[in-house]
Amino acid sequence: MSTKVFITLGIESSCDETGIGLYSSEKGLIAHQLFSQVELHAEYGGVVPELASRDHIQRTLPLIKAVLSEAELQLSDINGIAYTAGPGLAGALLVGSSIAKSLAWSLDIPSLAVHHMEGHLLAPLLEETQPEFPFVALLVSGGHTMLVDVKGIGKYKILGESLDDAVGEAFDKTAKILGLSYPGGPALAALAEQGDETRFKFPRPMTDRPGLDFSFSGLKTFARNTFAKYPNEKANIAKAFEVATTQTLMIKCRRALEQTHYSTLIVAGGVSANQSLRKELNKLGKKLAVNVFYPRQEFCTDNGAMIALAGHLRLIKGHKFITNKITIKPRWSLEELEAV
Amino acid sequence: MAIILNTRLNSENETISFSKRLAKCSKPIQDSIVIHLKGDLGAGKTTLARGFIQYFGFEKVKSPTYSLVESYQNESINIHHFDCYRLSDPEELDYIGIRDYLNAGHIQLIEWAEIGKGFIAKADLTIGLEGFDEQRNLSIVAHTQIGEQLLQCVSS
Repeated sequence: MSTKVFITLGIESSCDETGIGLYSSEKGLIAHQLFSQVELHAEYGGVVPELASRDHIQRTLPLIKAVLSEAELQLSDINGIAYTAGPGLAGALLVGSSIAKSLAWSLDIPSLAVHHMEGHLLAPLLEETQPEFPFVALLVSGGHTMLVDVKGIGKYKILGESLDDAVGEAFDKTAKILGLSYPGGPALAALAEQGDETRFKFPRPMTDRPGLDFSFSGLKTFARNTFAKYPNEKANIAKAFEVATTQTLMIKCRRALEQTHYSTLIVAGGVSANQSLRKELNKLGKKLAVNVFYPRQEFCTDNGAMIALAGHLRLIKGHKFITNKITIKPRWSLEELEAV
Repeated sequence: MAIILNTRLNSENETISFSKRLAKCSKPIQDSIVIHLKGDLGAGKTTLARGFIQYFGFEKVKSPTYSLVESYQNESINIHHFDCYRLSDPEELDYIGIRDYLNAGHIQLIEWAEIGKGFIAKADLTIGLEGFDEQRNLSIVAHTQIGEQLLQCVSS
């Protein structure tokens, strides 16, 4: 093998966000952009159009151009293309898949399907200080609540997941029930700061039995019933909800760490920004002598950088599609992935 | 003419057994079935949908709020569980390919259908859930012949 530089383009379009990343074997992550954060100007014709949410078709190509120009590269400098093939919305995934496959075909370079959740699990490797395998990963966001045993790239075992609402969803909906705007997870956390922890005690769902699965839908309903009886105690209800949620997550992380005997915990996803959760998990880390990692916030939520990285790690090992067929896998389990 | 049935459910378990009865009634129907589920956050729409879907042998039924739609397929059934709560514009349903889900013989359970108005399929049956604590008042409205058939079956 020559030591030629290999540059991977990553395309993420599994749900709401369109994200593009460029990863180089020499320099690491060289550029990445999110549609929701991009300055809308030249590429979109000078006007700021009201692009409907999830309109990935109109978003993707201009975003690829923007990332290439940020890195001062041409399309022809790309050596491989990685795209999110699942899990996600079929319509949204098809856009990324079609664009990735057509580009790869026209540039005569390999392309590869990436598992969205693998992107999240490997996102900590985008940081300078990287965790070492194996580790336990807690993914907590509006769409996911999951504990994963990560032995190495492609070696994943789901230890537990939410049977109903994701934790971020429970935060957002409880905020709405309390009259805050949706999505209001962060607003709920701010309100909880003024609450009295001893006023209400909410259940810790599924902690009274063994296992690592979660259930947060009942907590939301519990908040709703409590609010109907005590409409003037918003802050106390917010506090009780937050304490119940963060303690439930902490208890399950403790179980996962004790079960695996690992000494590293990764916490990713939008909810990992919650300060009370961080406090609980850092306390747990100290007690168990476990290192707790939090990837940078921008790599915690959906992004193209993590897809570029996850695809890159496989493409440089020769993994690739041998067909030009447009492939998506809306329901794809992390446990089906091939190890690298 | 719409036909209406009002009934009371005294516990979450009663909601679940109602949903399974409804699923059983849906089973012999060959045409598409569209059921809209109405009610506030925490009223039990997803609980009802979960019972319905589990009747057909699918154990894990996640909330579709984030993903907008979760589909359940096996040899005998196709169920699409939608949640329009996060939509800011009904047109977004077009971008997620809503038309691909409207196939003959498929069952659609739709939460917050009013947010997807104009793009979401018209209901055969609308089920409303109201109430606090364990108790729920259920109102079922049949809009079509299939809806009437289901309503008669589930109330008999």
